[in-house]
Amino acid sequence: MRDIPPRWRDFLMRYYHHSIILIAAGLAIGFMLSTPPAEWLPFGAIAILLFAVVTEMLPVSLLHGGTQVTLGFPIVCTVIAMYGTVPAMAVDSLPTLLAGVLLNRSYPLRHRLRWGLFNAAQSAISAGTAGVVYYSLSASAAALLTVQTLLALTLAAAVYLVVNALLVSVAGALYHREPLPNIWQHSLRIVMPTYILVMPLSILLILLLRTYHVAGFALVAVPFLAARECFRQRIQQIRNYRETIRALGLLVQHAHPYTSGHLQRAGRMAVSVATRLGVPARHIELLPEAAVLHDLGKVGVDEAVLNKLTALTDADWQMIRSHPLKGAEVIGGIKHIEPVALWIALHHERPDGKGYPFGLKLGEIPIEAQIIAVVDAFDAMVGDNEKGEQRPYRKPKTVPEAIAELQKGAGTQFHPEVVRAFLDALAAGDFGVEHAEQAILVMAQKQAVA
Amino acid sequence: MSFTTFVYIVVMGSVAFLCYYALLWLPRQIRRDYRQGLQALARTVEIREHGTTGIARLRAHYAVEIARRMGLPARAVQDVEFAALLQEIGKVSIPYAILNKEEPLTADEQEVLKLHSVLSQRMVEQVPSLARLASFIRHHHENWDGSGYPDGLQGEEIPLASRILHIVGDYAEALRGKDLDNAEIRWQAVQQIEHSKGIHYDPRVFDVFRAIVQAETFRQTNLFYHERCA
Repeated sequence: MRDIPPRWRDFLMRYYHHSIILIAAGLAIGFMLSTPPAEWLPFGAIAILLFAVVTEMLPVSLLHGGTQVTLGFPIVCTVIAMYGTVPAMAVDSLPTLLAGVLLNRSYPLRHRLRWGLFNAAQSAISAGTAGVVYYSLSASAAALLTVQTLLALTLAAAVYLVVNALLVSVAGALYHREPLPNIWQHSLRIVMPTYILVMPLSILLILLLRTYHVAGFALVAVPFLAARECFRQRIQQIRNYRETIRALGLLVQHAHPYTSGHLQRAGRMAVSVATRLGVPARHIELLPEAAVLHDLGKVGVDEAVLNKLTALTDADWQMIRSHPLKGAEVIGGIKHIEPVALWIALHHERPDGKGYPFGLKLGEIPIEAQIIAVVDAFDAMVGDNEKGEQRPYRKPKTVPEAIAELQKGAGTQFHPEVVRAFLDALAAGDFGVEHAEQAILVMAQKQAVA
Repeated sequence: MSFTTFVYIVVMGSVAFLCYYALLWLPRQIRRDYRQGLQALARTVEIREHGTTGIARLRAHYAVEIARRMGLPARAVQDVEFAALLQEIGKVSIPYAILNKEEPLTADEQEVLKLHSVLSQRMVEQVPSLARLASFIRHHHENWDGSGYPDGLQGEEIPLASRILHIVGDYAEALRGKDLDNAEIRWQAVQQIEHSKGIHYDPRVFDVFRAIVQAETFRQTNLFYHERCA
């Protein structure tokens, strides 16, 4: 999947938001006019609406970049099968709107309304499309359990997820400037499996509603809330684990005072460079971890050697050169971040083959290791201006000097593509306005000379 | 069997699977990951201090065995295990030259080395999910007769977990640079520290510890340690 072409971008930026809402409204009115009111206003659907509001108000944050999921999806599938398309649209969009406006109070009301409306509209469109798919495959609204209806339901659910992912990723690409393929992958890989996991709940709900009508809710509410609680706890535990590892990893390195603030900054930089280079989303996720832990192996190096002002002996060099592998040795044992160990082992390799520990060449070094190398080098040159972070063996450089150094090293010490992406990110202001101004100035001067 | 019955069975089956997955399998998996992560980070000290590879896991192994034998609840056993992994972590702040000095340390250098229990405590304190282990780690060099550091606590004043950590810590130190897989050598190390029983170590805890190593030696189960840590 390719990115949005720039000439469409401006146009889309202006009209995407409103057009989605208009399409949803049109769709809803069209469906209402084409079916008699008695069909889209059943009593059961109203009860479901209440239930859906409750679930939508209890979202669970996923680990990855603040995405929130709710258990509203199985309910919507059920409503499509039991009551029809219009109730499903209502059951999906109204609670979304309510939740969007009432939750996340830290944002201003205007913002919440704007995005609440957008989310409601895109859910209505997804539900509407899914409903159309369901009823074109299976005729009756009463949801008798046959192979045909089950197949239709599964297909409708898939269509729902695809439409939803598409609408959301375009919005993300337009308004948050994230690359389209990345968001698309993210929703395919992370959000969808979670939803597929809760599909059995939808069939259970249909069964119960058929047998006990609205009273079926009472039976289903408990398992629903239990499932939600499991979700939440699981995510909480994994987050807890990651935080612990990260904090301990940082603390262990604080023994060397000049490498602390630098690490956090390097993580942010690495992510934005990797995003520009189109690194797979699951690797981007690990980059902050890699940046924080990349010099862990220095714990195993004598600080007297690291801080030496005189020339280093061969034994000293050998010790320093052992640090990437020592770090990788420790990090290789940490679950869930295994790829990081390889990047850390190779973050001192150079494209011209003069790096250590193995002397690999351009094509053999993983791009992530190169990103860490560039980011680390830049931040080590510039970031030292802060108090207490100065490395004793070299003086801090200004931003233009550091840029010149990176450009000089492109192709020999650093991967040229990575350097280019890094400078782009710098000029675009990803690392602060101050740096961006200086970077633009330097590049403009370069162009003037050429 | 009608189709509806079939669907009922499938749905109930998948709901049961979900429950098993979320309530039993996942928490166990997460606990295992957590332990592995701590074991890995405990190794940072081992890459700094020569001849200590595998020492943190050894400490954790015996700490768990002692805690179990003494009938501590599962939660406390886990706390003791994690504390044993992290009790020396503060050594990353002790100068490399002192940690790896071949000759005996001078009195001043010994004082510096003694700071490690407080340094470890300070580090662990800063991680919210581990903060409860901080006091165990602080006192892991307190002696039974009150001659230890940093606070000179005595007898039962010392938390039980710290008394366990003290024994496994000294034991691991006695095994530094030796072959950890050899049951014979592991048994000799016990005899080497036994003279401090009742002076440095709680005699009751030490007897439990001694029985554990003895059993391991005489069962000749050299693989035992590997199995647990693999």
